[in-house]
Amino acid sequence: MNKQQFNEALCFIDADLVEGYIQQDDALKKSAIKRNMWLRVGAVAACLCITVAAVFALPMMLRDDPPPVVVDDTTPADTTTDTAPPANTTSPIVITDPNTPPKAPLLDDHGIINGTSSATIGNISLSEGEWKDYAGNPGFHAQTVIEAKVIEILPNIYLYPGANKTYRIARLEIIDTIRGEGLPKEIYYRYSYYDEHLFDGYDSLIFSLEQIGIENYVMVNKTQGKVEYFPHMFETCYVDDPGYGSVIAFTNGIIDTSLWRRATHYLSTPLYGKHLIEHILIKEQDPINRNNRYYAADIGDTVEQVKTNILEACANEDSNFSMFDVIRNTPDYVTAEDVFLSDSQKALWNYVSPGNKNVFCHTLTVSVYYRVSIEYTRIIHGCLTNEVISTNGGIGRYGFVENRADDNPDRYDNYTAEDLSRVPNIAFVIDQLDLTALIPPHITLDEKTILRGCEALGWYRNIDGKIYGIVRIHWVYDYNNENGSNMYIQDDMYYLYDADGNGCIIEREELKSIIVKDSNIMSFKYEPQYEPWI
Amino acid sequence: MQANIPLSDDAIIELYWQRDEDAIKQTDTKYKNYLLSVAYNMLRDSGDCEECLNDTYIGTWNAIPPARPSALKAFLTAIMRRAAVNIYNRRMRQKRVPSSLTDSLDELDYLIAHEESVDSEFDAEQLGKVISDYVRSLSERGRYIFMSRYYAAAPIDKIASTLSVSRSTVNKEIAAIKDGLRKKLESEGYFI
Repeated sequence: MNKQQFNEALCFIDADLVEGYIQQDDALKKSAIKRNMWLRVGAVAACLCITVAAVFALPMMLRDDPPPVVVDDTTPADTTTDTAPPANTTSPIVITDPNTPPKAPLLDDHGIINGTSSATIGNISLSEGEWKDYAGNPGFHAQTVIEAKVIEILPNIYLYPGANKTYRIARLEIIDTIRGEGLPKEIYYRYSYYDEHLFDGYDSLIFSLEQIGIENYVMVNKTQGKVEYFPHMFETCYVDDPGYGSVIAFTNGIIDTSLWRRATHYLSTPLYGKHLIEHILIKEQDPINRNNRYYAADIGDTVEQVKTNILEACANEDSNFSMFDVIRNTPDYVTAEDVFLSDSQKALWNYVSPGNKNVFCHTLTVSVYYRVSIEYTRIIHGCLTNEVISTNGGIGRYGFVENRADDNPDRYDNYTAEDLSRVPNIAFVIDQLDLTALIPPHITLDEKTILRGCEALGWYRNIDGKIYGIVRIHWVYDYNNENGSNMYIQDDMYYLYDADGNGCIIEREELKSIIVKDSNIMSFKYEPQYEPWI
Repeated sequence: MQANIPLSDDAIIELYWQRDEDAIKQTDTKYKNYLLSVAYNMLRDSGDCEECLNDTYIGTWNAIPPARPSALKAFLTAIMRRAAVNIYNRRMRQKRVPSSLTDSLDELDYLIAHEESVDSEFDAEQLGKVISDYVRSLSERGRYIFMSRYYAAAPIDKIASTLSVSRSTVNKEIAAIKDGLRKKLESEGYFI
């Protein structure tokens, strides 16, 4: 017997068992709905000062649809769905609107996430140009430069809180440090877009990296639904796509351009990797353009030749070629011991370190002259909050200045233990969402609109001493106008959850009036727009 | 949103018996979301789910009459499941991305042979009876968890949420269910 046969055998399970299961399922879901009904109505109305009628009329008002209907008493269970709670306490009205927010459970274990802080289907990016414009031409951006072997690619997929991009994490063993001091023997390196086989088969690789985290660097293990801590974190400079030129692969000691051919990110455009190879070839064939196309490696170069190229270019103060540049930020390894020295700095370190209900993610930025900035953000269930602590300054004798909420009205001071004792798990909500079933509430879908992608993102805000969870759904559609121009149209929808896990749909403008200066709340118009750049 | 008042199950079944095509429309009005959610648990692809839904309606039209099910929802669920399994098997042959059904079947890895070791003629109906016997021996909650996880391929979080228990409680029950299932299959000569 194999799994397929077992699965087929389940189709022959006795009919009365199936009937019993469905009845039991319906009964359980109905009792769950009733149990939460008065909490939903009372708590949401109290928290948000929205009338009961308005809460449940809102989804209908958005779409200008007729009001919900009363279900025939003889079939009370049959029209309920997994996402359809009733509308009020006085009659069994059933809402079959797929946009209705599911109930958020309350969990008090902040290290384990039952859910995900974000979810995506399709591609929500507006324009390839947006990315290309930021990154410029592909190239080798020399900061911390190492030759290393890939020992392990961690088996799971990771997210960084607040972002919808997924990462893989590799453990690298450093063979040689070409630029940078104090690095450990092994480091963790994260990369985006590719699977665990990207680096298969290479004897060694040269990486140009920047350190983006010190001890207790948080990544969300999306596969297992939990927060993980790393002793540090690195990624390639400027662009975290290893196909972009800051990673050079070697086989039998000779440069191996197949890595760049494997790196096929970004829609269907064949790659920046391929662009790299073409430019190297162009350089060979066209010496006049040599300076404009200089890269750290050439076809046929050995590892040692490439290292020499890099060191010579780094030593040349005028190095500023289009495909090779030297980043003047310090390339040396930074640890907490370098940064947190004074009593107040150590107190901050203790505050943000892992502890009971304390989970802080951080971003390290190292600039020239050993200036170091670290920004810590509290996360709950993997979602960002508005408790943000920035440190600006240096390491060692330079010290740093800590900034909390004082000069940032959208940032909140410390979340207290009482705040954290009752928090809706919006990560669970996001995990339960069926992005394919949700309906954009403001735009009209017709033969002109083709779904490009949809994403859900969750975050928390402390407003007037209470923690609220917000889930944003964002759709992007291709819009085919009569002229055949490249247009798109977007829509968004927001769920607001109170501390009891009750949620309602809230319009963007109303949310903005409650939460001032929140960059996660979008501002676009609900009408077709031209692509920003191609 | 359409303001449709759904018919009772008996009325819908009667439409099938009258060979009135409104039976399909009424079934769709009343059960579409539910059936899609059943299919989606197993297939995780909206295109395949729509195909499954169509197969279910055709299957129901062909089955009633002569059938006159006492519980229409359960009847539809069984047909939908069979359609979803067919599509699932087809996707596995094509090596397409697996669904949460794969997760639930993978939990039974240690009980079930790999493809290569299967050599004897297989009677799905007979095994179905053995599994039914086993499921009847479970507690009410155990039966619900077994059916949710393996029949309906529901994610563990969803089962936990419906039962208002923790994920670890569900996992513990599943472990006990798997152990009991192994013993049952062994006693019936199915163990590999």
